[in-house]
Amino acid sequence: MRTTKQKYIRIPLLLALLAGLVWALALYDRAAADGTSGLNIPSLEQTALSTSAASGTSNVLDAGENGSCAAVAELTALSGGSSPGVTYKVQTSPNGTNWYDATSHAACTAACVKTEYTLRVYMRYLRFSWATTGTPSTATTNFYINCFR
Amino acid sequence: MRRTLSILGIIAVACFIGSARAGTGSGDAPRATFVELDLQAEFGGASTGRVVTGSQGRCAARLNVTALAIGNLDSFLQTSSDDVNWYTAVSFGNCAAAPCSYTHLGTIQLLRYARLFVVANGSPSLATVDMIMDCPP
Repeated sequence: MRTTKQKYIRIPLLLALLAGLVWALALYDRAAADGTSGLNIPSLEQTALSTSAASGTSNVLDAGENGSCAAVAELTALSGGSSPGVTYKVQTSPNGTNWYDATSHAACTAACVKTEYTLRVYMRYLRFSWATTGTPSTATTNFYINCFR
Repeated sequence: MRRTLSILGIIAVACFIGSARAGTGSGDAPRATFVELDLQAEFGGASTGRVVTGSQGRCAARLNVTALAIGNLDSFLQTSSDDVNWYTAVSFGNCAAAPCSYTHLGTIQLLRYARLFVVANGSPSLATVDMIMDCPP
């Protein structure tokens, strides 16, 4: 025999569970509509990296089994020095220790964008390297790499 | 208690079937197709919204300029990793008089997001552009 008290507990509980289900489904549908659910796209996104060093490297991307990549280096600011310039390369490595040049570009002497849309690499790790000329006081860069199957 | 569990079970099954019918829970990723028709550009730049480039990061695109009253249009396929900073991957060219048609077959590797972008030069009073982008799942 159910008591009135049991009913008063059960109904709100049921409504709360139902609301939770609807909320979870709404979140799932939004991710599906955006197209980002279930996608594993290894990505390097390192923005507004400012440096005065003569050379350096970006963070490292572990591309896993994905070897078809797009890469972008965007020099957003360059100041100081004498006729300053920045040269970017995409580098790849099988072990994260030994690095090899995959691509290279002509130097940027002002704000510019260097893109790679046909980059195919068979090593697991990727990164950007840069080298400056003319000793700029500041070079600011956005780095992006996305890798796909 | 048994009745409560039954109701919850029915709700769960209904929700699962509903999401599967919508193509979001059946295990098949929805094809990342984006279609925008009859975009009317009367300004300096026209973004079409963006698509996710899918697990292959490649998209085919078709762009038709069907009407252009004054001025000219430059059209681009752009890509982005963060949906904030956008970079031109393909320059389709300049359209000075309609009709103009451009096709990209998806031969290059894009970043995570893609969009078609139109820049109007010379203040066209009316430009109508049909855009279709299709990214394999």
